[in-house]
Amino acid sequence: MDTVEVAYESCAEIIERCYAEGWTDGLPVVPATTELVDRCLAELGWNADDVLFHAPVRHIDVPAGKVVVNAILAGCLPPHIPVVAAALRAMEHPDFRANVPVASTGGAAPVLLVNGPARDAIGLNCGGNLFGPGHRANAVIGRALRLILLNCLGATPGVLDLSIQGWTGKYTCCFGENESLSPWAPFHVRRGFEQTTSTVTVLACESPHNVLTRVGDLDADTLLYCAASVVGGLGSHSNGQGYLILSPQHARVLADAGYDARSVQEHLFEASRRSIAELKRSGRLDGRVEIGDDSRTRPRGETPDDILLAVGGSENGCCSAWFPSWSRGRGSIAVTAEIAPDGVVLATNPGPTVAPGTG
Amino acid sequence: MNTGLPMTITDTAPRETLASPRLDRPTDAPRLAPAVVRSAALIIGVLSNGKPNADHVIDAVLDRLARAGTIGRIERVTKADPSLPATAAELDVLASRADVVLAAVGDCGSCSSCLVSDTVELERRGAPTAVLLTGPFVPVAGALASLRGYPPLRVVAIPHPVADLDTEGIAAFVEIAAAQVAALLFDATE
Repeated sequence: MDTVEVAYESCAEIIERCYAEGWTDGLPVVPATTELVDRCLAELGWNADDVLFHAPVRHIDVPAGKVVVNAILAGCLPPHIPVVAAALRAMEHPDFRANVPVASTGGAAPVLLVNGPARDAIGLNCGGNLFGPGHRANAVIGRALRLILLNCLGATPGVLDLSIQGWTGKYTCCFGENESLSPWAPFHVRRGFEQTTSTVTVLACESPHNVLTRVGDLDADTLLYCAASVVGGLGSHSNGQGYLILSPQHARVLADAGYDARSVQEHLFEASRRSIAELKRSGRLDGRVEIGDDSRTRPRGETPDDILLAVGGSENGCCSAWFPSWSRGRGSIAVTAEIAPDGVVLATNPGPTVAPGTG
Repeated sequence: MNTGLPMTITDTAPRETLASPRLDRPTDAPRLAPAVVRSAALIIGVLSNGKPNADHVIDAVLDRLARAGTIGRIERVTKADPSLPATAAELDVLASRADVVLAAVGDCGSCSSCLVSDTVELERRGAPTAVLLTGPFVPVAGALASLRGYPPLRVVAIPHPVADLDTEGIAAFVEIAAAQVAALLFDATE
């Protein structure tokens, strides 16, 4: 493995050397000494040369040793790293089309949703401020993935990452489902996994859009009307997917009104419809508005399953989030990987289709 | 601008060995396929990604090359999706049948990286390939080639954006672009 020798009087010199080598995402990193890398590999039982990720398009193999080096730089401890490895296996699936969201002007981030016992085992936040700071596992797992994209796949902003704006989730975006406060079966169980299995789901997403409602006397109709306006928003309307992360209180309002997860998905899928005329006027579809376009509609996504529904956050308010998938079309889809060596990797049907317009 | 913390390192300072997070450099550096001798019997391969105006730009460049007497026949492949790499079968067809290849046009993040990857794969198969990229996406070529240990690719920069240009707009840059394609693909020592 390539190494760099650094003389130092304090840890500051070592951190500055990492900056000078161009190894960081802009934030300071934990220096990955060869001794630390060896210890970490031994604890994981990994061989440094075993390939953990084959990057499609770039034709690059990322070995376990490099995954570990980047994970250490990000601040990972050994128990965090299998989640990173599982996320890489998900991103390797052809239907995720890893090169596209990583390189695209659209500026997507891989958004990681973790389910199952691994959440508690690694201290992953599923509750209050789950998209924000304060929890090591959330911060370092997503960050490790970004550092691998930067350092191994050359996803340097302005060079091979051509995001027009990007968003802060490109530093890290990893959270768990608040399964204990969900009125429904966990996301991964509805996708066919056992409740005792741990999974990570990866979807290339834009920044989240807020679904904020009043807290008192909130009824399901009001909530669904507000959520549909966000899910069906013209700025991100496409036949792609998206995560809808309902706060526990929002989920409870819907469950108390008799909605199960599937009926929420079906309702929002229909309510997210926009007329062809609107989609053309807003540039979401090409062509001039024609007679009949006002009465013909398109939903957000291709099936209700494209609204990837999970529960997250704290109980002290009515604030949910919609993470629309990247791309003007169905350019990349969600893939779930079991957090286990050689575990199941599951993509959503139908798979991606040709993404129109820019990518 | 201050580029780092002020530091004074003594000769007796302790040392630490850091592992690089980058992929280790390949031990055997690959090379580009050699340019070919200009002739009227050359088979020109075309790899179009089907982006808006890509085929108009390609046809205009081919027209200029034909006028210069450097085209015997054209072998054309159009990718099914610009944001995916060409298939191995498509690359094999071009590399085995064509003397040189023109790949076009990269004008967005994902399509440029795929087209540049295709270019590397064609060079690896022995087909000298010129790739047309719009200005902002030219750095993609150097970065991707470098990642795989390749020297700089044969890149021709064209104006951005190209998708909405009419015939006149294309004509404004195609003479220079075609000349650059020829200079990159054809042996200058003949």
